[in-house]
Amino acid sequence: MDRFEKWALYLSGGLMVGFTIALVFSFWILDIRIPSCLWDKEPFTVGSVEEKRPGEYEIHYVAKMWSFDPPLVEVPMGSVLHIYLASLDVNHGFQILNTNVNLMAVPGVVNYAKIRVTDVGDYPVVCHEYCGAGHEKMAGILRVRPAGFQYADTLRKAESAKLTTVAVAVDPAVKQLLASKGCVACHSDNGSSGVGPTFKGLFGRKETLADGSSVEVDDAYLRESIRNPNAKLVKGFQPVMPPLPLTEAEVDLIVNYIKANK
Amino acid sequence: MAPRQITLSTSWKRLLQLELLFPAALLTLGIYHGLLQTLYRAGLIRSTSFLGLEYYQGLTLHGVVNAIVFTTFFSVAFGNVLVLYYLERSPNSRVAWASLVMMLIGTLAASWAILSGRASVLYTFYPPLRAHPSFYIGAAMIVVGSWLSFFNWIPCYLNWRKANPGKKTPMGIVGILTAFIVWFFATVPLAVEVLFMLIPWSMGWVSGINVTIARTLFWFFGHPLVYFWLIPAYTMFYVMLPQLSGGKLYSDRAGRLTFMLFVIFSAPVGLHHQFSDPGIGVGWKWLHSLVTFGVAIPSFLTAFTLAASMEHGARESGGRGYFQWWGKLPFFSSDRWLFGYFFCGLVLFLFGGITGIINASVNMNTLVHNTAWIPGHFHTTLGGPTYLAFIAMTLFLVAGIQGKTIAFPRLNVWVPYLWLGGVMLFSIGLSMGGLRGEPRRTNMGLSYVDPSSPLFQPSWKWTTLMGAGGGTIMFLSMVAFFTVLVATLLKKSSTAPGIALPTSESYHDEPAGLFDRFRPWILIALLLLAITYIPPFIQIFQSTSSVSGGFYPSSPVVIP
Repeated sequence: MDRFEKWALYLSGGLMVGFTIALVFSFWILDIRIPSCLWDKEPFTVGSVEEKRPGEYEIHYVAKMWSFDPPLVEVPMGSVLHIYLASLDVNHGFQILNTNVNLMAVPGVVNYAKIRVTDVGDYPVVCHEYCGAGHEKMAGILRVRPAGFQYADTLRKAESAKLTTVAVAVDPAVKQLLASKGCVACHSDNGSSGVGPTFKGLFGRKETLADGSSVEVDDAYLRESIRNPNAKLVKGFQPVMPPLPLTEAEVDLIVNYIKANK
Repeated sequence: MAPRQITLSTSWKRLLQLELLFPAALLTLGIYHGLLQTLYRAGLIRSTSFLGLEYYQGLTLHGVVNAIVFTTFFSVAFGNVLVLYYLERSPNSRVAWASLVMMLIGTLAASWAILSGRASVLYTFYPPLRAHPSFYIGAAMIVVGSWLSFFNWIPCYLNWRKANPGKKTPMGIVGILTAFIVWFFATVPLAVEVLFMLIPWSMGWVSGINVTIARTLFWFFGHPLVYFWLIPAYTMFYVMLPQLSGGKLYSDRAGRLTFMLFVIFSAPVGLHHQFSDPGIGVGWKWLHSLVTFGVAIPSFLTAFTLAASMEHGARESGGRGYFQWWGKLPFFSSDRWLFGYFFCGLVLFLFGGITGIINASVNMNTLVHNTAWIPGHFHTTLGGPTYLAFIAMTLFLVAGIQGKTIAFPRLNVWVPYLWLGGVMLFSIGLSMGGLRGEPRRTNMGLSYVDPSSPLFQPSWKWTTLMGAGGGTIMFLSMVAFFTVLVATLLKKSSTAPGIALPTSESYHDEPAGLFDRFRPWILIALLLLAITYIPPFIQIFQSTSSVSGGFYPSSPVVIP
């Protein structure tokens, strides 16, 4: 090797050493961390937000085909967030835009990141790992409110519902499911009448029941009626629907589909 | 001095042409969907599918055909040529045919699964997304078929060594053997994943699958794979580029050192694709990050050696001054047209190398993981030096075997420069989008770039449009290339058929010593692999659990 070649070798080696020092600095001094092993956390299936200590929140996120649970999280500015992430089905990505949170949701294991939110605003959550047909519609928002804000629970529910229905509007799987379980034999999706009520415009409608009372068709009513069809029978229909062996994910899918079918 | 020419038997001619032209034909489909992806992403196509091909189905096709099928077939063909040419020995032709037939059947099986919509799982095929078993079986057959060719060359190499004691192994042989040693390191874990996990699971024989183990085995394959793409291109650069520049290879030993460093450092780096994964300790991620930094060194060294070789060539042709000598290189020579392809590939690789170091940086990766930055990066590596070198050599070899001169030589000379411009625009668009959080592998026209969607991100509009602009230029460049290729095939033979590879002499021709033997380097590599992979695997087994069942991409309903 000649002189110039040696210089090239030393220079490139030196450059890599320099980069390494920069990384060490950013990792331990600036405290920019990456996920590691969690030994004590079992995978979970339901999302939640809990204020553990004043200003410190523990958020359980569940990524599933094709939504995040909870879809909308609101926290006051300055909070510290402990984000735990699990997947209900396949691999998902989880990036909160404009933050350092960029995680994989991998089935069978829980991921974790910690951040402090310092600026008020909406931070979209993006799924960046291909997870099937509805991948590009997975929607989530982390909303940072001014310090000391009050929860407006009903408003958040309404907005969350809007986010979760983004994905299902184009979902080919739900039609397959409705066909395979025989739902479409009695329930139309275009407003035409059948043995059972049509799905079109069903969500949010006021129905009169067989016993004369009335009910607003909401999430809970739909779930109950799928699980136990004859508990609150709508007036004018016969009690002929059998309870079906559906998984929780399938019920979610059908409920979201009905919500989106306005 | 014109390089020595060898003539080939009819069987070899047929085999090599099939090995080169079959993947090239399939490549047209992959290229077509490459263009379409950029249009979907920019919202210029707002649909789940176009002309019967679904977005994610096409994306799977683009990845499998361009990155696995084309590269593997080409490298096998190129290896056969190098052995025939430099060792002047013929590998067993029955084994060579068996290898090709296996790869063909594997490709057809996997392509059928993809084109019939049964395998829209992308080229990473992470479980528990499930494809039709023929997709996994096809992939396994491509891999095992390529091994046969590799094993077929080893006796020729050993026989040559025995017959030529004290002689240095020709650089082309060192290069291709390095590529296939790395390929072997890479594909053993892939074979384990496919044969022992995915095939039994997709057949329904077992229900449970550990997703983190599957991901880790995949990237144990997926990163050395990158060097399997790169090293045949490096082989061409070391062997041919100095000669094409009109000079000599600056340093023979630097070339050999580079290849041996690739043997060591190519494989123990896969975890740098999983920095955002749970279940793997930070310490092991750091180690893989640093080993990846190590693998940057042979590339830096290559940049120096090749630039010095080009300078030598330019000065031999009368180049002067600190910078003016660049003007003496054969950028647009239609005799030495390979130079333009190699040169443009190297220019792209400057960006590919630097962005690669960013990706490998343990926590800086957080900013770019799975964003559009990543395809922005690898279209300047795989889509840069590898792709340009591979298509150029495909054209060069087929023309040589058929005894033809290149059709439309002026058009051919412009192909790589058009490609260079297209990839630059495309990659800058994707990189800038990626830094703004734009995800990769996503049909963005349906949500993120659709102003009527609640997910609309205005700042991703212009980055994806840049991507589409670049994609269109890349596509035009490939239209030009395939015009040249097809027109060349349709011409009448006008020269003596045979293969004559441009081969460089060395400027500093030191004895190769340790760098001319593979065994010590392979041993170091195995040791390093054991250190970097055994503990993380133990950790993953302890900290993660299997999940049962699988999912078709079309439905969230579990397949038991």
